[in-house]
Amino acid sequence: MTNSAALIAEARTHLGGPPGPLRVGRDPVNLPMVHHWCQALDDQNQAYLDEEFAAETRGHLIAPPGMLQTWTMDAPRGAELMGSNDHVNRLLDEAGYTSVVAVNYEHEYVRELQHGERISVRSSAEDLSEEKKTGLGLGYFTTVKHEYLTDDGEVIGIGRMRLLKFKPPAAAPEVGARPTPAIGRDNQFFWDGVQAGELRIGSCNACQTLHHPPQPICRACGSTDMGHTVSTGKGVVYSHVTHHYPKLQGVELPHTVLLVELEEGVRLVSEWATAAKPETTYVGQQVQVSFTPVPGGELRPTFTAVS
Amino acid sequence: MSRSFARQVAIAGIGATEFSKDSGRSELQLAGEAVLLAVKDAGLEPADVDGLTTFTMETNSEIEVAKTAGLGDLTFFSKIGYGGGAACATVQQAAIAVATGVADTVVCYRAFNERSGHRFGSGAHRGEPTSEGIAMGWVSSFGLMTPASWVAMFAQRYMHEYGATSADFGLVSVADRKHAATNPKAWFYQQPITLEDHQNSRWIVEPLHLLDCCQETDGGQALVVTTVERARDLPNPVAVVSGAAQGSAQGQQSMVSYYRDDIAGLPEMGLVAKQLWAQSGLGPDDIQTAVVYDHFTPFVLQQLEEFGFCKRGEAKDFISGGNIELGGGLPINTHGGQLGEAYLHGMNGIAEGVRQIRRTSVNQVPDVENVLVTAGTGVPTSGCILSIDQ
Repeated sequence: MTNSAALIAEARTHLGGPPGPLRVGRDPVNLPMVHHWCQALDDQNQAYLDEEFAAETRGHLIAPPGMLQTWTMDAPRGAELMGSNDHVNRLLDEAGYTSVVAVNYEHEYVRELQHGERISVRSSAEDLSEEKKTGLGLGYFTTVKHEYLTDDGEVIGIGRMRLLKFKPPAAAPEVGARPTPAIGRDNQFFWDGVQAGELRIGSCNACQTLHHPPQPICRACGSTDMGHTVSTGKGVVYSHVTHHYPKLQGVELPHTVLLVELEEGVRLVSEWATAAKPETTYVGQQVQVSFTPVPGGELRPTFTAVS
Repeated sequence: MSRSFARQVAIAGIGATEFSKDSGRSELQLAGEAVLLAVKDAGLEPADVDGLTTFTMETNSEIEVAKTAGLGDLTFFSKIGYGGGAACATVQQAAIAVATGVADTVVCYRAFNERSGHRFGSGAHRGEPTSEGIAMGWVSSFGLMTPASWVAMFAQRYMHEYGATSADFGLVSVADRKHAATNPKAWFYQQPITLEDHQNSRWIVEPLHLLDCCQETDGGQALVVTTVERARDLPNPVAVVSGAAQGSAQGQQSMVSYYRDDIAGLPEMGLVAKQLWAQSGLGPDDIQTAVVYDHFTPFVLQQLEEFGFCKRGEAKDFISGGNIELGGGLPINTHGGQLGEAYLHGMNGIAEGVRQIRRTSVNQVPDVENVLVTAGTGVPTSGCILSIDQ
């Protein structure tokens, strides 16, 4: 068993284990904090704010249930005693899952709170998922159960907070910006097309011969009246390479470069759209153009595989 | 044979664009227009042109001009140094080419936006990119930036079309390193490799392994060329130049001619082969050993096919069974090639050709009469045949 797996296994032994020390709210439930809350959330419920209305309907002013967590937020914490959830977090840290992000928070309300009640909280580890691959990196979802109590030990609410503890991915290697293509009179239209989301192919206005790479004089008829047409962007992989060495500016390695034959009959060198790189690349693979950024942020005509 | 071109050649056509302070078009277009006007003035067609010569300062390479103006295959192309000093030298080189039959129709050209683009008088270079710069942008801006990657793209297609494998390419490496192992001048002297070593070497650019790629070398190599008559009075056995040729085929680009109908061959080397066999009166059966340009292994196979040592797609069979090693039917790169001896851009290979003719190679092939030497592949290229003095 790897060290990491052992740490996770140990963390699981703390699930359902004893909560940490009771943390006692600094202030009892009170009207000024309710006012702040209601103003911040634009909540005008009369049961929170209007003494007469509250007296008629509830017998007294109540606190917004959603404030459950706020009554203990600044409760002093004793560093020496650890609860089961603290152990789980410590072990995940040791296993390398050091980053944290809150996923969601569920509340269960047992009864409404009235002013003057002092609230305490105790927290314990309730659940730990299998390792998950997330957009942020590899991680574990943990569920911490917070029990909210009054001074006489009555549980008046339960909060369940789900956290993602994850391994911060290694910073993407700084590859720098991809070289910018030289743009002159004869190929300006092509790169303008990329900005406009069009794959433009040079074509002779006199005889309609297509040219890629474009040229200022038609090789077929000698005309200098050159225009362009817009490709459907559909084609097949005609050849391909995968670059491993040496490092290249503006290129994440390994890097697959495609020679695409468009259905119009011309070829161009391109690459996979970064977010859509297929598992394998092969001659004859059907592809479709898309315009996506390369390192440095410039757009390129890139391709995605079509099934 | 007369040794002068004097009074043998003529200027048959002239053509120019308008002269302005702001042409409003690319330098490439100016060059293409001027060339086409000159060709028209001569009463010829663009496809008749088989030679180009210009200045080293010219930003429009011969291949860009040939492609743009729709010229034919080129058997002669040259660039001459020293700015305006090159002007009449373009006529001299064209005359040499035409008088000797190297080319029939050579166009000399020079075109630029000297006022509206980079102002010639300003010194430092800025402004409109050159046609060569734009050509490179079609590959480099997609991350295709190294010689190995440019060649790998051809290799992948060749494998697809003919079923060749990485192990087939490896046979070239194994042969070169075997020969280098017994050449004290070779960098990889006494370091032969196995096919397994080749297959286990790391990827450089799939489908090329490290051992498909030649080394980089510091060094120099020079050759002296004179008449056969004069050479006979000098100390060494004479290495006769039975043929020497250039080739730039239609659709030629520098290392990335990916836009031709067929990219599994090397038509520019085919053009060289055709000329060499015609000049020398020889054929594949007359060659006892060859120095086949090997900056990357795959192109060795295509070259053997272009020269007719085997049929298209069959080089993988031709090179198997040690056929290109010493003792085989066509030992190649007996100095170790550029993979094994040194990468002097082919010049060290010509020297090995001379040694084979002199019978002084460390890996001498018996009874050598003619040696084929080829130059860089993927680019406009050249080749020569060296022979013993009969």
